[in-house]
Amino acid sequence: MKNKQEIFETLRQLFQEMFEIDPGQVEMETTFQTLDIDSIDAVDLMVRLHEITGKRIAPEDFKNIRTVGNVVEVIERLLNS
Amino acid sequence: MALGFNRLGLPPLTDDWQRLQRGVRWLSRLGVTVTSYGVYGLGSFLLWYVIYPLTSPWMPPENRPAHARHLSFLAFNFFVRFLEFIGYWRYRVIGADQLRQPGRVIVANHPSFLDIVLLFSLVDNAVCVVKPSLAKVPLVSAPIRHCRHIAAETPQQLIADAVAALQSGASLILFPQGTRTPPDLPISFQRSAARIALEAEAPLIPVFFHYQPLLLSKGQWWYNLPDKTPEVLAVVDEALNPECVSGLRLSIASRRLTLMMEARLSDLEKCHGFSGK
Repeated sequence: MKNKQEIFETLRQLFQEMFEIDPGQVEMETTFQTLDIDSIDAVDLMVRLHEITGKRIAPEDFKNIRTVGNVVEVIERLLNS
Repeated sequence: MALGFNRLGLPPLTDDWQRLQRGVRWLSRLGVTVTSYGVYGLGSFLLWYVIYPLTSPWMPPENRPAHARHLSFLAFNFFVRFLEFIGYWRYRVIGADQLRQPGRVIVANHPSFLDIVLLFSLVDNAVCVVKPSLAKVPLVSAPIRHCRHIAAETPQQLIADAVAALQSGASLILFPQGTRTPPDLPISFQRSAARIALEAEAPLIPVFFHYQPLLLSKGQWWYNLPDKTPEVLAVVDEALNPECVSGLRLSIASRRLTLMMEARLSDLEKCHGFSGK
């Protein structure tokens, strides 16, 4: 899981596994709101991503997340830092 | 009377007569409304600034929140009957027994501000969730503080506080629509109620409210007086046990449970709701 595409695919899988969201619905520009992911789900997702990547996502980064693409960017930055 | 005037060859007064009757109804309604608000204000003041300060010091601090909630329950119990007595409303509750058990998560639709008044009169030891800004309003902040109502800033804090309250034996009143919502909209719930019930392993009790006519809904103010005495119906449904989704991941279980609650409320609406004014 290094480049954007791989991170995106992992997220798609996670969304299906955690929130039963059909991967076909998930695109880079899709917002959390459209996917009906609330703030409690977002925290669950943050915990899960921490388990997978071993890196902690800063709360201020997470606050600014609106779309799937935003998560991909944050994770990419974390993995390559 | 209108007929009599007609015999004298005067223009019909039926319209004026009806307008007068409506005016008299409006005035009496205003009197009843002002009385109800006055009694509420005076009662709150007496309860939280006279009675509670006299009764609470005698008991250990850990028993005080439950004592405050019991006093509030008794006061609201009197108040809803008083409102019926002066003709502010006529209310009917079906299945109130379900609300008397401790440690339940009560989830209700929220058409009017009065929902919470009726629920507080039915549930002993009730904790509810309030807007953090309300904790600064003078007459309201005292019961919030003494009853330990939940004024959480974040959803995570709200869930933690709610689970703790349930585990202490209190029942939790939630309006998972999040805010007062017009009754003609389809029922849609936030998922935190399901999450709380799952984490506390507490049964959910759906309650459906119906008003005819509606008053004190979102955008209706105290001076928007209905033209007739409102009839209020509260239907308490059978408990919904979160065990029915056990074994699933929490995020998925709370989705399933939320769908079940929404279905319960929609069914109650189909059975007991009726449209028209």
